[in-house]
Amino acid sequence: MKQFVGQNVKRKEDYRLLTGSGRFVADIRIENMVEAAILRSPYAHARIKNIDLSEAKHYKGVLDVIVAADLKGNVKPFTEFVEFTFPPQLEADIKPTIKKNPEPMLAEDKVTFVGQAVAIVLAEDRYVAEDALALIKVDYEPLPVVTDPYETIKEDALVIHPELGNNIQSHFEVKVGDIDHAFRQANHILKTRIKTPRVSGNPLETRGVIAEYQERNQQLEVWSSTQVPFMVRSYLSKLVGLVEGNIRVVAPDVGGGFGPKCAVYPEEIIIPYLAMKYKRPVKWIEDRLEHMQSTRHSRDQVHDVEVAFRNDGTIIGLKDQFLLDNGAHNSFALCCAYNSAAHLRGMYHIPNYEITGRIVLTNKTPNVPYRGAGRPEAVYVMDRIIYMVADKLNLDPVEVSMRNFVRPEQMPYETGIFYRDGANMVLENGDYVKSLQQAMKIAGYEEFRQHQEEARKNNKYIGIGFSSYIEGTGIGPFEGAAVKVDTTGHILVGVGSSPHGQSHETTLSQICADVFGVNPEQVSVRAGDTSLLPYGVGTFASRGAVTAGSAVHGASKQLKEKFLLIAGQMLGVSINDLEMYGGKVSLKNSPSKFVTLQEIAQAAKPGPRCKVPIGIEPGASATYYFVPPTVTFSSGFHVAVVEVDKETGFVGILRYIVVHDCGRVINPKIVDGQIQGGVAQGIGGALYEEIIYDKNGQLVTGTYMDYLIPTAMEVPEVEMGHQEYLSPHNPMGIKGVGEGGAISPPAAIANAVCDAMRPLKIEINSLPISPNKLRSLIEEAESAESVLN
Amino acid sequence: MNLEGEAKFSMEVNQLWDSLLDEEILKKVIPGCHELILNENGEYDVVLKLGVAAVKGEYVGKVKIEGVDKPNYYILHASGSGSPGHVVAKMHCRLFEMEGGSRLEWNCDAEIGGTIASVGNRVLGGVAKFLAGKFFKDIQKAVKSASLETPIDSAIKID
Repeated sequence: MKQFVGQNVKRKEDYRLLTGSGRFVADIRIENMVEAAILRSPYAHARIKNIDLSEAKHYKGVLDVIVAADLKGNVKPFTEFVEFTFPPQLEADIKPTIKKNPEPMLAEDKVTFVGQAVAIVLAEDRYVAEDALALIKVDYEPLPVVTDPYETIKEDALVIHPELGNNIQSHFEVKVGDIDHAFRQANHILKTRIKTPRVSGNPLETRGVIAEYQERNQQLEVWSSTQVPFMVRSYLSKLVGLVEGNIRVVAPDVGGGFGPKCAVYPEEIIIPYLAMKYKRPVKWIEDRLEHMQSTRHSRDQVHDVEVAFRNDGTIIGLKDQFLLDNGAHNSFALCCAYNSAAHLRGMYHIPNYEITGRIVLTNKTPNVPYRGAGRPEAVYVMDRIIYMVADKLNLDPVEVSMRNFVRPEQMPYETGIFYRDGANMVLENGDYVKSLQQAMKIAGYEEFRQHQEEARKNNKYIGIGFSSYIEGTGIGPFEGAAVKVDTTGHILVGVGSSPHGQSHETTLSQICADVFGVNPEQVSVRAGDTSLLPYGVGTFASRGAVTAGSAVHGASKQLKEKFLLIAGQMLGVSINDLEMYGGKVSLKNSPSKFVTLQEIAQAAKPGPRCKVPIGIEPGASATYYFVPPTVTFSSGFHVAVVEVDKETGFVGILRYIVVHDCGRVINPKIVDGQIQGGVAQGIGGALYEEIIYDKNGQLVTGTYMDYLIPTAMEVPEVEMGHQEYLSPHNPMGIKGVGEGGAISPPAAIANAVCDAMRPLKIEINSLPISPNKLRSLIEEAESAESVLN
Repeated sequence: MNLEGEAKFSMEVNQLWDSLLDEEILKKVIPGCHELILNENGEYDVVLKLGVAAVKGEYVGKVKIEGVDKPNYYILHASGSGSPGHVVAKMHCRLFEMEGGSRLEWNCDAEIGGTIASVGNRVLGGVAKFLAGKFFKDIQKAVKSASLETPIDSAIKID
């Protein structure tokens, strides 16, 4: 019987997306719809003394202008996202201090970052709405601004939110082993500061919300470019005070999410509320400048690390104190910060470990997870350390890595800490030694070293660098699937996790098709709609395939069992005599006797012709919720081969290699695509991307002229090697793959650049590796060298 | 943003001083100036229409002269805001006599915010340099008796 899991089934999504017949939020037109435009703060910190709306309200075509006062009593403020809070055993272990610091819906008496929403204009069209924005007069009294994470934690720093006492929003510690003992035992101690800058997720499609309220039946329909339609529904219900069952949230085609579209934004609450208030459909589409200013940013961590190691390169202890600059608000508890702490040691056995994380507030846009969510920052720290230890001891970094890996025989390996979901963090399987060997074989490491020597003689600087990562993927708490067979015999699958580029329609249909023994063409997958299932979680944290895939697998198996029972009734035999394949259930020893899925589906209908055995509900459907026991760990190695132009500081990537383990591969081509896309974003983080604020908290990288993102020209085709260590935590052995590609490129590329410039011994401990930064490092190193000589 | 520069004029220093503080001349030479009205408290109300990169719009603001030491020194405070953003500038002006005319050295600290900062940041320096150059050139032109040397806008430095 042909299996479709593991095959390169063509993406079902491609036809509509590549022919322009996809349907994104902005494509939706509803009669009588008004458009919203949002006035955003031009100040990073200011008191709002007065807002004069009179001119804007009277502008022709304006329906109304809304400010914070208009929401009072009608829309409750955000509290915190309970979805991101920690289970009690984890809180008991790390004893965090977390001050509640949710974002206001609209700025009320003060603004705390550039881009914060202040007022909303509703008008007949977007042109009128934007013209009216220019007529709103806000009297701001500018206040002092803090943008530096170290300045903001000083005792005398201005306090952005006086009710919090200071600007340290959260604090936690993770301790394993005896760190003091390890540092006493060390031959060497290394101290350094390693920084990952603030970046933006930059999905192709910006945010957007449309809402329509039908007063006749109190139904509220909301279309949003979100990763989490169920979460939007839940908060809408809570904050606007609506019956949850009367709300339908749809995430239609979504052009990328990458994390910043995970969780709920003020606009997703206010726009639906306004549609109800004015009894007209309302549309708001974010423009790119708004996106750069107000869609939540990410990363922005500074780590002060100390490493204790022996002469042979064995790392025996690691201390880290880090700051995460979260901008003006944090509603995500310790999400990224704890991910960094949990993943920092990666695949290395470092028995003594102490890390302190502080989430600090500044007058910048709030900060949230973005592809990798705290892991690229941690991996950048760890893998720079591997290279710095190797440099110090004059060892090959591959050797240092090999010396410190968790070995297959140590697995399942207890890391000694809890994961974010409250379970013990255990690396279940994999072979890191073999995986690195495989990556280095593809890279041709030995030959490269010879080639590099020759190139240096000709003043050509090429380098090779690697990075490793592990990633807890497929986080819970659950995901569901509803599988049904209609009376034409076609299989329909509804899932709670919605796609924004992940190919749910293809991969999930492969899983379902294999259970029923049909072609994936016979299966239609639907997602991104809260009417499909009572409960859903969403797509983030490399969880789609693991959680929704397992849910589809479970629901399909349940329905298959039911169909066998019905077929047994229809054919008058026991189910043990039956098998299902090719869209039929037939007798094992007499294949010409069969009933089709269509016939079974018809026999499942209630009524006198129903063949569903007594005691079982009629109907041709099954719903199953998969509840993972904990996350499952993917892993991989990235190798970058670069050439540095010493005169210009320009870095070119000559080759890029990824060897990874994501457990059972459902569709190799789609996995390759995930990795290629992730690497592209990772290259952006390594070489180009940085959100920059000036000292007044003004965003100076508000367009793609100043915020560089890699294009197809800068992204090489990734050479890949695969490993398949099946996950023990779900029935198909799947591990997540969505984020891995983006986690390691900054570390791999920085290491490769350091390797290329090894004669100058430069250390690249901040990103991006822009030509001006690299040139300064080269100049410093050269002048230091000339002093020494 | 810090800008500094110097401009040379073929008029004597007292005439330059008067021109720089003459409402009628300023109205004509301030780039994009639509209104310049002297208030009772010695401040000017100004309305400017300017475009920087793709961001065009109207700025409403105030200009104030302080620290006057005629004809040697004064400080010009200017602030304005509008839909494209806001600007606050403090400009120190030093006037000198020189052979054949006078010379102005100026140093300006400007803080820019809002959309112009996010969109136009990379071109702001160039725009400011252009506007300053034009301003001084037009002052020279506006003074009828003036002739000969034009201001040296290449002497403008931006940090």
